Amino acid sequence: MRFKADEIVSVLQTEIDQYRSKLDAREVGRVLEVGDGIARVYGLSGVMSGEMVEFTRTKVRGLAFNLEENSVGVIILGDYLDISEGDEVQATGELLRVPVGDALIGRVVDPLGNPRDGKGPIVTTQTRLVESTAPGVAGRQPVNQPLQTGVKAIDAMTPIGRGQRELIIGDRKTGKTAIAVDAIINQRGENVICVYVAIGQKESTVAGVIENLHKYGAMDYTIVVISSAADPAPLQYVAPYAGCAMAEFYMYEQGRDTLCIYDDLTKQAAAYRQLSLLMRRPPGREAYPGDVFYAHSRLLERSAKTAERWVIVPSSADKTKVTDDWSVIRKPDNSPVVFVGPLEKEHAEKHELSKHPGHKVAKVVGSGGSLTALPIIETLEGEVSAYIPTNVISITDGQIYLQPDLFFAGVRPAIDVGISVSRVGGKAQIPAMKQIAGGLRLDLAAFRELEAFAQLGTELDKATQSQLDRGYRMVELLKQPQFKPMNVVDQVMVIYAGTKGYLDKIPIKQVAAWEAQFLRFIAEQRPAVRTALMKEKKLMPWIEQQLTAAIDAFQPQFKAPGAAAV
Amino acid sequence: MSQSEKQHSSTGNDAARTETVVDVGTQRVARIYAEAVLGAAEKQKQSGEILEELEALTQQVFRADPHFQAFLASSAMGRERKAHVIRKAFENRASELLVNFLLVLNEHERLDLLQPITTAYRDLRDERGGRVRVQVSTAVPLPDDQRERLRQQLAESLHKDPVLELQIDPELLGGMVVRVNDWLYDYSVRAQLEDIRKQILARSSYEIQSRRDRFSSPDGN
Repeated sequence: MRFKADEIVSVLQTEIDQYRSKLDAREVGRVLEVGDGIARVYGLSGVMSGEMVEFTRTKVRGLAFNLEENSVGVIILGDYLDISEGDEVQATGELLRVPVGDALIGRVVDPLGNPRDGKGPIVTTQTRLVESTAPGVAGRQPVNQPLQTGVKAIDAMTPIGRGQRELIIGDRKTGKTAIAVDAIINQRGENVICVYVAIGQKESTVAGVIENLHKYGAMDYTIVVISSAADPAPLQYVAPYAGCAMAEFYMYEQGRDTLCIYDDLTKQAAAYRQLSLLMRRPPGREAYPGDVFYAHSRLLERSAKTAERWVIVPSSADKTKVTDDWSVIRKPDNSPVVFVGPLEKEHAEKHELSKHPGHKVAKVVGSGGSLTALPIIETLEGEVSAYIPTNVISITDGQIYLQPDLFFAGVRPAIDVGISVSRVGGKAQIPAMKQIAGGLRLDLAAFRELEAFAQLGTELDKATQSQLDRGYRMVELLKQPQFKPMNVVDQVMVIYAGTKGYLDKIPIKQVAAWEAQFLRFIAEQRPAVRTALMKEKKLMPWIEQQLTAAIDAFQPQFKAPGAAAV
Repeated sequence: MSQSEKQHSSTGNDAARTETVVDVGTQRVARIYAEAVLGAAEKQKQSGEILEELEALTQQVFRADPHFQAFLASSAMGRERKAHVIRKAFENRASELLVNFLLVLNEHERLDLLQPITTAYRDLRDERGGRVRVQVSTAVPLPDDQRERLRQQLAESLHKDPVLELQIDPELLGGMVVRVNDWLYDYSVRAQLEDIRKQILARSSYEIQSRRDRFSSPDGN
């Protein structure tokens, strides 16, 4: 036995000995009516909007949602069936907070941070406000670092940068979650903390996702926040904010990169609509409350790439502990001088550092983190002009649009290249990818048009036919099975081969086999090309030369699948 | 000391609380009437008597005969008929002011608001008189001297004249719970036992956790 009974008894004894009675003063109210996840409370006249309240008898927590002249509308974050009329409600004087920190990594929690995976209590002393304001202009820097999803079609044509908000939108069963999960799996070894927030989904679906994350080793750096379809609407409403707070901890406190997936915001909006209507807030378009836009915009605005802060400190300073206050340069009012962003850093290195010999420029710990958001929206029958889809499209920095037609035609991921865009990610793409993917998008869009034309059965001239052939092969090349994220360097090499026409002679059905054999060939026989590309991240002429040589060497070795092997 | 001090049974005061009206419009109207009748009563120096009469009417008469409340609130009866009944029932039994007030309410068809008006009247009168209602719950009845001491202390800390509403709640086990408006000051034995329980639970689960962590590998668990 690991602990002795008498040890525990002595702990209890000291606890009782040390107990000092204190007056328990609290602000209270009484439940007037309760139902459907909300309660109307009389009293609590000093309660703040958004303050946490507690139902004294059942210990269930709630959130002051509506402050009215004579009563307070409370949304109940927990089991509301045990609460009855006349129950006492007490104010806690605190806004809603969730536990954060390393104890949550690899865990499955509900939106309040309670464990849902049966792996014991989550022990952490750190908490964070669920609703916090987004960083301001000065606290940010432009997106400049790629977040590789490992999906060829996305990384090539709708690239995502760290700190970006990229919407994944499409009908049901078009592979929205699959893309998000692939993106998480691809963060292995990238030092990115992932938060997967499941809102209003079937528990069975979420269980499947968690199992896959486990299977591919992604739970080592992932937090899963669940509020399933069976959970009360208030929990579904709060879930994305809670997940965001858990990711923000890593962005703000440790300066790390994070990825947050909200799967999906349509259901969160529906939960919010339910709450608002029960609270008798006036309904607007599609019966959503007037502030449903704000509900999403304030959530997505919290994704950011925070600016790096640099200070000049003595050379001996410990780099892992630097704060603003360590700066040796002071303003007249004795506040520290901090250099924000790459330009000011350059200035500090070139001009300021020479005035302070024996010093160095060091990054403030916790600056320069990022929170990338991949919100998911489910459309009905491809209707993107519905209220919630248009809202979120306008908030995010681009969208990946998934088409059921493509999905059933076997193009998976079923990304519609024509209307999928990324407004800022292009800046974050690695130069090699930028070089080869530039024309890919337009080519594919042109191909789609030609394809429709070709279906008329008219005779085609040679140039059109070859453009079509190229297009078919590119579409084939961009197909990718689930759970098989690909390194960006490999992506560059195969897309290069495709755009340069090396695949034109390969039958369409064999493109996937060609790709697999080619990558194996490179890994086994020409690793130098790969390492060079990995290092330079740019298609230098000499690398390009090596790459074409490698492709030429490989072509005769390609064995069509089904052909008799040795 | 002129305030009435009532020693209720434990549920006595809850009845009034649960009848709280949340409808903002109703409350506003009730407050207007309450202000008017309080003004009239203060002129005649009868504000205390009127309160007693109103409370007697809404709590005792209505409870004894709910039909009477329904009759007053109903618009199916004509105004003249109701006025006749009011005169017959209350004249010479209640103060002239109350009868007149009821007749005015009848004239305006607001007799259904009698309950909220009574509440508003009481609150308004307390407010003007610098009084504050304090609900005090104890496990056993408070002796007079303690009650007096409590009143003095409350008067000191609240800077108002406290009106004690005493309740007996054996479940508290000991100590007392004082409630002033929305603030609850809980110094009962029950609350302290609950507090001790929470502390011990938290402390022992922490101890168990730390003992367990000591044995598990630093990176695992």
